[in-house]
Amino acid sequence: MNYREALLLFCLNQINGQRTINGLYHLLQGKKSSQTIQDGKLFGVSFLFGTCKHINRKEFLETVTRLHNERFIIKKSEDTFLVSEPGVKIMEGILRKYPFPDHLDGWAYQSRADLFWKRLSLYVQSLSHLLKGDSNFLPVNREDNIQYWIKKNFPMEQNEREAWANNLYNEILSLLNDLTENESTLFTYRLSGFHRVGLTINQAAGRIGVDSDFANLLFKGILHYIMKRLQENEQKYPFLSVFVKDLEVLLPLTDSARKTFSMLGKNRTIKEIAGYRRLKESTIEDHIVEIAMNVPEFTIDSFVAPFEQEEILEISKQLRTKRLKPIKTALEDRLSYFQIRLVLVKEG
Amino acid sequence: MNLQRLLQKHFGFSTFRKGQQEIINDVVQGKNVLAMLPTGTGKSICYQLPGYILPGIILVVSPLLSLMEDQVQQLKSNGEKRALALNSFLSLSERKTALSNLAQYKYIYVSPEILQHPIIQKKLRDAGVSLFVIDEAHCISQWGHEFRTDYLKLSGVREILGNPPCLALTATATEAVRKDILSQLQLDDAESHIYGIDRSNIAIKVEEHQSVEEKVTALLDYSSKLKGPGIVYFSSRVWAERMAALIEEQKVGRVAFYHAGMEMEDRLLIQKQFINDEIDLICSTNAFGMGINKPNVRYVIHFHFPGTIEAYLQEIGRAGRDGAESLAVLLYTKEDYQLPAMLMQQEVPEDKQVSGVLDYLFSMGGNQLTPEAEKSMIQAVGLSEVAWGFLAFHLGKRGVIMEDNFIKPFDLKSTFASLKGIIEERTRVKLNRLYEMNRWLEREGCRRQNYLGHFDQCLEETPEHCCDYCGITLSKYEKRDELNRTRLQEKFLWKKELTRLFHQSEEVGIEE
Ligand SMILES: [Zn+2]
Repeated sequence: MNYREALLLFCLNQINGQRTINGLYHLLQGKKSSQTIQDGKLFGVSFLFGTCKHINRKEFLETVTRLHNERFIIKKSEDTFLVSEPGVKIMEGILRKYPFPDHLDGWAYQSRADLFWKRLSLYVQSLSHLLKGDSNFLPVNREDNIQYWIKKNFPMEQNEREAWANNLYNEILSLLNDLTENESTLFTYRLSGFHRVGLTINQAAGRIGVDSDFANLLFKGILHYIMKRLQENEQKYPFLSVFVKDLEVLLPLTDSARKTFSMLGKNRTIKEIAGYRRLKESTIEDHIVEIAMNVPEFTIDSFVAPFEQEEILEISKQLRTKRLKPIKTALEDRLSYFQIRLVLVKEG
Repeated sequence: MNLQRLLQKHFGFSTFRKGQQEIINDVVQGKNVLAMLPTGTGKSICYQLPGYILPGIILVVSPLLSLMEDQVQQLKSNGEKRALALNSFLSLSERKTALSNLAQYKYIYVSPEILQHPIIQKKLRDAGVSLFVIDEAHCISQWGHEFRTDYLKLSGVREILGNPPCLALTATATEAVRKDILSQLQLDDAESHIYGIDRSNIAIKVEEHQSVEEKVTALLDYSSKLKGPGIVYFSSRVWAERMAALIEEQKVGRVAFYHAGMEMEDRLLIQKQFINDEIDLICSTNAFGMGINKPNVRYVIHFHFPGTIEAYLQEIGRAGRDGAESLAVLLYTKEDYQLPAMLMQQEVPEDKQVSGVLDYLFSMGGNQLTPEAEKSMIQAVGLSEVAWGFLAFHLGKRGVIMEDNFIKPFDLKSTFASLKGIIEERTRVKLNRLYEMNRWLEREGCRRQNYLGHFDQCLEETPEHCCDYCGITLSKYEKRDELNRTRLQEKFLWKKELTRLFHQSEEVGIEE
C-alpha cells in the first residue's frame, strides 16, 4: 500500500461515513466553502486542508476505487465509505512508520504557504544568481504577481544584497536546525540557486528515500512550521518575516479588524489601539473576536489565560450551553463577557 | 539601417543563419511573408529583430501558452523588458493593468482565442500593430479546422487591426498546408521563403518490434548506451512515468519525467534541470519541447510515434541544434498504429450527438442560446467542449447560429447532412495523415529522402550518417567513457548546500 492510499484511509476513517468522498476531495484541495471548513474541524482532518492540491479528481477517484476493490473500504451508500478492519490495521501501520508531521496545519497556513514558498524560492534563486553577477537566468516562477513582488522587495545595491543573503541564510539555518535531518535536507533540495536547480517534490522524495506523497506533507509541514515561528517571533526573523507580512490581506477580515490585527502584531494593548484609532474599546474587542473566529493560528492566550479557557469550556459543557450569561454567573463574574465570547468562538 | 549591427547588439550573434536576413528584409519593407525554416534555426529572430526597426507593436499569435511564456521569458532574460504574454490565465486585474498600458509593450504574444475579444482588438488597434506574426502557422491547417477554430478567424482580426503586414512562420508544412495557410490568412500576395527542412546532422533509425515488452527492452538498452542528453516521447503520462522509473532503476544516468499533468513549478524545475545538464534523460509526452532552447540534445527516441510526419520532424528536430551529430530512434510495433487512430475517432462527434444538438437548436429556432442552455445541452448530449466548438463554428459559418447566439430557423435534414460531410472530411484528412506516417515507417528506401518527398523537397546530398537504410554506426552515438555511467553522486549535506546557495564561506555553516 502506498502513502496516498493510507492517507485516504485515515481521512475516510475520521469521517466515518458521515460525509461524501466529494467533500473529502474538496477539503484536500483546500476549497473554502464553509461546509468543508466545518467538516474539517468536526472530523479532525483540518490539518490536511489544501495540502494535496496535486492530486486531481481522477487520481483521487482511482485511489478510492482501488481501496474499494481491495476491501479496505466498504461502501455505505453511493458516495460514502467506511474503513474495514484490515483497512484500519494497514493504515495505522503505515502512519506509525510515517506519521503526519507535527507542524502540519493546512487549515491555518496552507493558503498563504503556497505564496510564501513561491516568493521565497524565487527570491533565493535571484539572490544566488545576482550575487554571482548572473542576470540571465530562467526564473523558477513566472507568475506576474510573484515577479512583481520580488522586484518591489529586491535590494538594488550589491552590499545590500549581500546583507540579505547573510541574514536569510542565518534565519533559515536557525529554523532548519530545529527540524529533523530529513526535513532540512528536503527543504534545501527544493531551493534553486546559482550552482544547481532545485528538485521537484517527487525528485527530492527519491533522494531521501520516502514516498512522494509523504514528502509532500513533510514539505508543507516545514512551510507551516516556518510560518508559525515567524508569527510567534517576528523580531527574531526580521528578513523572512518580510515574505509573509502582507499575506495577512488574504485573511477573511473586515478592513477595520485587519488594522486591529496588524497593531496587535506589534504588541499593542486593546487600550492603546482604541486610543490610537479613536475607537471604543468594545469595538476593538469585537475585532478581536472576529480575528479569533477567522484566523486559526491567532492565539487568545494573552486575553484569557489557558487555565481560564479550560474553565470556561468546562462550565459550558456542564451547563450544556453556549449562552454567555449563565456561564458568566457560574464563574461568579470573575471573567468578562469578552473573554468568554473569545474562548467560545475559538473553540468553534 | 544595418541589420547585422542590430543582430549583434540585441541578440549577440555576428552572422545570420540561412534565410533570416532575406525574410527580415521583406518584413521591414512591409511585405507579407510566408517563411518555412527548419526547426531550431532561430525563427523568432525573424520577427524579434524587426521590432527594433518598426515603430509599433509586434503581435505574435502563438498556439501554446507554454510557448508564449518561454518566449517572453527569453526576451526578458535578453534584457528586453517590453514583452508580454496576454492569455486567459492572467487574472482579471492583471489583464486590466496590461491592457491599459498596451502601448508600452513592443512584443505581445497572444493565443488566437484571446484575440477574438472585441476589447482586446480595440486596444491593440489603438496601440498600433506594426507586424502581425503567426508562429507555428501550420497549426492553422492542422488544428484550425478541428478544435481551435479561432485560428480560422485570424484574417478578420487582422483587418480590424488595420491590416498590418503579416509574417506566417512554420517549420514543417507540406505544399498543401502552405496553400491552406495562405488562403486562410488571405495572403495571395505573400512572398514565400521556403528553405530545405532537412536536418542533416540528425541520423534516423526506425525499428519494428514484435511486442511492447520487446520495445521496453530496446528502450532500456538505448537509454543505457546512448550519450545524452536525450528525450524519449510517449503517448501518455502513465507510460512516461512508468518508463522513467524503470530507467532510473538501471542507474545509468539522471532521468526525470515530464507531462502536462504536473504542477507548473515542477515543470519549470525539470525544464531548467534539463537545460542546465542536470538531467541526462527526459521521459515525456509531447507537452515537452516546444519553446525549449537546448542546443546539445544528442538523441530523441520515440516510444510511441505521433499522428503526423510533421509532428515527428518537429520532435526529432529538438536534437542537435548545435549542429553536432545526433540520433533519432523510433520504436514501433504493428499495434501502435491502432492507438492514434482510436484517439482520433474519439475526438470526433458521433452522429447521435450531432442530431441531438441539431434537434435541440431546431426547437429553439428564433430564440437566443443562453450560456446556461448551451451548457446543459452539451451535457445532455455528452459532447466534449472541443467537439462542440467544432460544431458551433460550422453552424456559425452556415448562419444557423447568428450574432449574439440567436438561432435562425433551419432545415434539419440538410444541415445534418452538411455537418456530417464536414466531419467525415476532417476525419478522413486526419486518418490520412496518420496513414502517411505509417507508410513512411514501413516504406523501403532512405528515410530522409522519403520524408523530404512528403514535403515536395529533394535530398541534395546524403549525409555520412543518414539512416538505418543507408547505414549508420550506432557506436558513434554511444557513451565513451565508462566513468560516466557510474557517476558518483556527491553526498548531499544540507548545511553545506545552504552555504553554497547563499554564497557564505564554508566555515560559517559547517560544524562537523
Ligand atoms: Zn538515408
